[in-house]
Amino acid sequence: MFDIIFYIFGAITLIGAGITAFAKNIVYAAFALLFTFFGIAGLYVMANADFLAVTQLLVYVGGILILLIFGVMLTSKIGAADIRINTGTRWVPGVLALGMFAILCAAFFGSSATHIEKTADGKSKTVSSWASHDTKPWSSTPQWSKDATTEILKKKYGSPDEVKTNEGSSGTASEIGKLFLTDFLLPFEVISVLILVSLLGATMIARRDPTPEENAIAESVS
Amino acid sequence: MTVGLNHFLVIGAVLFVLGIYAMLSRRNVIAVLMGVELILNSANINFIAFSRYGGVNINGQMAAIFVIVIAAGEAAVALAIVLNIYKNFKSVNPSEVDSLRD
Repeated sequence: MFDIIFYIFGAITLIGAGITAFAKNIVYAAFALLFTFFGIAGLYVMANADFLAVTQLLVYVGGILILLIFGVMLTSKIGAADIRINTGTRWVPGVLALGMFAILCAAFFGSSATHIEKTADGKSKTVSSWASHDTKPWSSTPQWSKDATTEILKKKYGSPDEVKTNEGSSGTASEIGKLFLTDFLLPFEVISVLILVSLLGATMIARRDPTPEENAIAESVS
Repeated sequence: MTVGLNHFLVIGAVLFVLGIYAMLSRRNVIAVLMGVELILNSANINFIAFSRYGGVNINGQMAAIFVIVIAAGEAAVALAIVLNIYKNFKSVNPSEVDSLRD
């Protein structure tokens, strides 16, 4: 069941991204990007990142995509021929992209994904660097869902099997909120200053120059 | 075949490659920005995948949140620049914006 839903979301994501990359009409590309963002939000849910999935929907679908569509509408004459994207040479980007994909796949599946690890008794064994952490979906919950009280109870009473928790049901929002105000406090403040500056900068850049009449009005008021 | 880390990584890689292709082949600045968004999303998928399967735990999700915030700021500033380019050049083709070349 997990696999089927994963493949559905993955197909939505990849088909949307393909249309975004290849569509002749930029409005079609923008709407395909909507499906890509929805599919990615679904993939986040599959990977137990519920807060991030909601953030993805709010920020990307509700903000960035609307901005992009505004850009499309403001910079092209509706109904004219130049709303179509004149795609230029396809050879160089295609070859570059395929080569990069081959390199990435070689990194994922090839022998470079494994490294030699010295064990304690001196023997060297080949360890797949990612597969050793691989867990089956839903079979074990990620570590952050076991909160601190569970750890304390485990230390106190020993056997972890008898400690009942409602694992996986609490979500990640509270954990992320705590981390924002403890470990990630400095990046949080820095990024809030960054977003404020980018907001001011965007309004400054996009502001149109006042006409001479408006200048005269402004001077007469002040 | 059970869905694991590699499935997420492959989806991220395909998104990244499509974003690179869109960035390089498009003749419209806004389509290039869509390619940039695809690339940022592929990076986010990798963060989330390693946060779930790779033992990074919730720190990967924190990094993904920062990426989303920076993407929002980037989109706002880039759209403002694109509107200014359109105002000055009457075109959004990146090949035609070459005043610095002369």
